[in-house]
Amino acid sequence: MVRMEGNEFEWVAQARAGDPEAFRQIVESHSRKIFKTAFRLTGTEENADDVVQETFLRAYRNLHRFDARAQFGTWLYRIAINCSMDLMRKESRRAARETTEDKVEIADLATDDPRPDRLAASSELGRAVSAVLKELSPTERTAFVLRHFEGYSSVEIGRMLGIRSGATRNAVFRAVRKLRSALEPMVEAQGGGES
Amino acid sequence: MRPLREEDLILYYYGEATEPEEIEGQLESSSELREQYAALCLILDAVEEIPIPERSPAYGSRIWHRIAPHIEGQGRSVWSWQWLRPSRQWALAATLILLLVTAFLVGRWVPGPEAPQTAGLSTHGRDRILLMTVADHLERSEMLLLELVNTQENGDVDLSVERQLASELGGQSRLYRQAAQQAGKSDLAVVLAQLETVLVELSNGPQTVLSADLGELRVRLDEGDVLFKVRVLGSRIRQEVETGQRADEDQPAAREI
Repeated sequence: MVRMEGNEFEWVAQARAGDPEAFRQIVESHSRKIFKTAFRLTGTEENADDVVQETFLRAYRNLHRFDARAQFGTWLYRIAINCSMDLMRKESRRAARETTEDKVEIADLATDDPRPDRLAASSELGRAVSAVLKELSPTERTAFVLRHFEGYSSVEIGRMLGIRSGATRNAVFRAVRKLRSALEPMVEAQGGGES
Repeated sequence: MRPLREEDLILYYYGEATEPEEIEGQLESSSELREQYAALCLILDAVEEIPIPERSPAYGSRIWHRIAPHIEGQGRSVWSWQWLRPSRQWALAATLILLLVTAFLVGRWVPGPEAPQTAGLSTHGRDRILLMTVADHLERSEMLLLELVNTQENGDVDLSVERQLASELGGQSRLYRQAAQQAGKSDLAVVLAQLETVLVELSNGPQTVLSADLGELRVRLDEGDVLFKVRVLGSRIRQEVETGQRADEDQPAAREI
């Protein structure tokens, strides 16, 4: 496995000079991390794979715009978030025209078999969480994922998304409310089974 | 002391509360608030359960193999500009053809004894080659503009390759236009002038533009019907070549009869 940290500066400089081999090193080093974030944002492996590819293509096209004083990983990460947002918006428009299966899935999980032992399985809860996240708007979902999973502050998220920190906080509040209303019955049932 | 809202508890959970001490004080003094906060924590802690599929250490390598062809083609998807990029040989051929085209246009539209003759080629044969050159020029220009107006990228778009190509095509357009003007072929000259303006503007524009600016290019092309005119003119010239070719093929047969 290729290690990036020590050589990142050099690889970026070489890639900017047009060396594809140097860019390959960058791709191999950052792909898995970007995949994780892309998956949390877009919700499916296929979409996350697409985001990873598109991220590197955009990064390559815009390498000349990268400020060498900045962190390359952060710059790449921002591109990945923009790519994910673009994909989510596209998906949202499509979903608006179709009946979403996710709603059915959440309802099924909450009512079909409410035994605590079933709900205790983390994969079940995880699926439910994924389904709820898919129901959020692209901004809500991105703000929430960046806040909750990636640990960015509202100000940092606002900068990344090009919105004010107040708007970021509101997006996170809305996301949390939606998560609560969808997951609370399941989590309470799980808690009830344990007691 | 103001009553706490759900928003305050969410900010507190994420460590972004502006007055955390005040929230802590209220949590200590109110069992109802503690229950409310515990319920919130239960949900947000549960969200950690989201499963992420594993990607092997070879994942980066797989991604590279998928994008490498696009990287080599400067990141442009679908089809590459490689074949349109100028080479020394192409430039030499273009110069020779350009001279022929200029001579052809002058000879075709300015009748007189000065009409040039190209050694080794019949007049019809020479005309066909030269007409096809103009048609090819129009087609290349049309493809360049179509690719630009159909670009789906968001944010910044790198136009370095397109600028180079536009500069080259713009120069050719200018020569064809001048020849057409001298020959009094105003309809062709007008379309070539419009095309030249767009191409020169593009070649002198910034290397990177916002995708929104490409929308402006789209509007400009729509307003002048440039793409439509280029397409129609190109088709007309090709049709003319084909008609001439058929006439040539029919001629010997007529003589035999």
